[in-house]
Amino acid sequence: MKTVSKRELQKLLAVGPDIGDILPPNIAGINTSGIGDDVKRAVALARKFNEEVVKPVYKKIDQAVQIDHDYLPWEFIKTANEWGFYTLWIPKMFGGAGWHMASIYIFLEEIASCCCGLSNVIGVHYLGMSSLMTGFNMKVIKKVLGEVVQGEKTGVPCLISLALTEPAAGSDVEENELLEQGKVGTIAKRVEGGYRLNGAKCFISGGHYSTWHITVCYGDRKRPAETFMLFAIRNGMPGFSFGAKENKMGQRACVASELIYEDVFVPDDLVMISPDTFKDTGLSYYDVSNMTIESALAASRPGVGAFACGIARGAYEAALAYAETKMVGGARLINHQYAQNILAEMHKNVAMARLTYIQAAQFTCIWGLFRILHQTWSYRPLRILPRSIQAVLIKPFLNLKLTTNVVRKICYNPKNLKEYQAAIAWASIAKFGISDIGYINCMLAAQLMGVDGTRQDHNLEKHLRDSKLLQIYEGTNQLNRQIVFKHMIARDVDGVEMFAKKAEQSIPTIHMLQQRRASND
Amino acid sequence: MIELFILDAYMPHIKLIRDFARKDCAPLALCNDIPLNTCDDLMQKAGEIGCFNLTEDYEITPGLLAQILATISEVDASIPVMIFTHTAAWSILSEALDGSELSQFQNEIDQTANIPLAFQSYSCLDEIDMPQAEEHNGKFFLKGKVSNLVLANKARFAVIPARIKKYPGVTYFWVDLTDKSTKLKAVATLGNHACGMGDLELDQTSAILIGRKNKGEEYFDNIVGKMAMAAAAISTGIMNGSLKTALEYTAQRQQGGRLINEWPEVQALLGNMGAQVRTAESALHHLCGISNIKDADFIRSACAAALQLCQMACYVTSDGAQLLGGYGYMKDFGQEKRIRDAVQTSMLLGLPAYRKTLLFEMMI
Repeated sequence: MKTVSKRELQKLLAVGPDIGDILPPNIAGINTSGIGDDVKRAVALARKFNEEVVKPVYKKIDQAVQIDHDYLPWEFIKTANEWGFYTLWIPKMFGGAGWHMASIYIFLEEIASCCCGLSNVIGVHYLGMSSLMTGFNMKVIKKVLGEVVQGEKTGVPCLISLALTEPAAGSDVEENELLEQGKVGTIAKRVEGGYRLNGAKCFISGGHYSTWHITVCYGDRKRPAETFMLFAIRNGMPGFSFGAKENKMGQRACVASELIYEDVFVPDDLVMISPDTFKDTGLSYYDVSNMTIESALAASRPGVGAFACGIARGAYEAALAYAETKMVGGARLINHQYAQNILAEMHKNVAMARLTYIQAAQFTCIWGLFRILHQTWSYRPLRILPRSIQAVLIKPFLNLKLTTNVVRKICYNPKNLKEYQAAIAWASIAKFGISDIGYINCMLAAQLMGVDGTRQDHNLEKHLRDSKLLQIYEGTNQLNRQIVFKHMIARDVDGVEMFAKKAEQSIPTIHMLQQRRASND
Repeated sequence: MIELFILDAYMPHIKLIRDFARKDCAPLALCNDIPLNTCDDLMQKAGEIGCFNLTEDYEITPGLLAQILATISEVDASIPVMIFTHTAAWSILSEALDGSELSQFQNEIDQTANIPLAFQSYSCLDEIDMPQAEEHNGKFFLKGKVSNLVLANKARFAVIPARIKKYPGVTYFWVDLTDKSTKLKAVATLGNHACGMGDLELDQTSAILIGRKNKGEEYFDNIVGKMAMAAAAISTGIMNGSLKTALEYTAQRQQGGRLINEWPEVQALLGNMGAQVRTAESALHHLCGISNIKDADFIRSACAAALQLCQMACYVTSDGAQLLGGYGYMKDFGQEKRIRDAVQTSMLLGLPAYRKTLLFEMMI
């Protein structure tokens, strides 16, 4: 039997693909004990919730919004709040139940296998929470999450949304290299004691039923990446209002909102991150602003993968149930060999999808946004110590600027860039890879079910409508492919140019092609 | 605009259809896009310009039918699906009857003021559950369920297959949907909302025999090629509409400081859509070149084209929405509607997976 020496091992592992890109961090040796218990509890709770709450209402909610797209599912939101779903994944130090973040993704898959729209009504709150945490301003995090916890106690849900997309800037606001050339319109001007904010946001998931809106804005529209800021905006602040609710193809339960900011005064206390208050961590503010958005979205993109996996599974389950009873050519459809292989293909798609988003979730938890919770010195104490003790030992320090600066120093550390890149790229792989699988599984199910699959009284029809959005939001799948290229491929190849950088040399524009044609003529 | 082989004599009719698509269908496409739609204005207008007597008035070629369906489908597939459904039902009548017998049914249709006939979606008759027919004193009565009857909530009459006791095969019947013994439940569908669909319950419902007993399979087999070409044409029209909207949008919207259509990835996506649309048009051109619609080669080619183009449309329209980003998912631009209509249309000829095995049988 041949063996490899320690030196050989190091040498062989140094050859690409990077071992850090392919091994989930827990397998790589980082202690994540206890995840299993939380996952089991999350799956069981989701299944119970599906039976008792989701299944009786999801079609009714979908139809209600179909008839009147201003309808909001308040009853469902209140029930989800009563079940504790808006605080389960809030860390204990902020008053939440502190379940392991990796378990939320599997929870979301369970709900999405029944209704992706309602799964998103829960999940998008955690996109809001992720964007709140991404600035690592511990004082603001404590304030906002404190209200969410209080909302559970009082029975008045307090949810958080991320306000990022603008009417004239979609993918632009998710990638600094596009942002620099983009047309942003949400601008904050410095005034005494804070900022004045003007602009509008669109397609904000969960906007109309959220209380807090983590709003991305800029100090100078000509230098947006360098003047990037993150504000916490609360309902009722003068000048802040809701605009239209979008009329969507699917995921109707989860509203897509327009948010309007007209001279909103934002006090310094609610400024989560800005260039003038940011202490040097060894990274430029340009890089920090990109990381801030990227890491929030990277925490959420495995969730999009989980939604898509849920849809792929829902489509598979609908097709299987149909094939069991449908008679075709004198035999049960399930006894036709082509049907068996289509079902096997769909089953394989679900299995691969789940493995992918779980891997991405582990990267996000341990090397991405939630890194601070998974350090060898932080993981066990934060997991074991009860909420009451954490309230005494940790909470008082959260208001200190020093705490914010220390956490930022850890999370925006240039030494961790490679691990950060792996987390970002895996999140995008999960997002675009699985959302494509979700759509494909719906189409495969439609192949088997025929016109019956297009009936709204069958489950497939809704899964099909819901699935398309997953390829679009949280960055189009095309943008996510670029992110994977940037973080996992381009870094290892010399002279690669991406986005608008040196575009004139590398990418012929239509204008250039026309000029070339004219000169040839 | 798709251009098939159309004789000059038909050009005035094509112009009329183009005007109808542009002036009538396009403005109403989005507001009619509501499940269980009860708006009949567009259907009436389509009837007035002769969309539901294309096959009755003169010898229409499959090419002309395909041209008409593809043209209107660029803006809205619901009216073409109505034409498709009516044409399928009428074609069964034409196969089964001639002369005065056929005129009798024509008169019934004429009296209903341009309302099309209802018909089910299936690839072959052993794919669907069908009612039982009983004969008493030369009269027929149907009992049982008729699922997924297209236009059931709008049509006055339907052409329905049923099994007569002691006969192994299938027989077609003419059923009056206003008969008190019928019970209709409208079904909300994914797409083609203006067209509508329903489940019909028949309880000893009086029915008129169409043609000869036990000959249903033969009549159906004779219309399969023509209807497959029609379904392929609708899918091609939907794809073309999606491509046009994507081209227009990407020539206006900016990202990263330049027009979207200047980004190579977007150009590649549009190019891929264009390649599929042109391939679809080529397939239709090929079918137009085969004159005998009962020829085995035509039927095989048409069924293959329908299978392929209908599936293609489900992905092309998805890319068409993708190119509009978030706006592609909203109702306003019509791209999401085209995805739904493309999937719904792909089911017009029954279970796609099963159709592949049927195509194999045709090939050997």
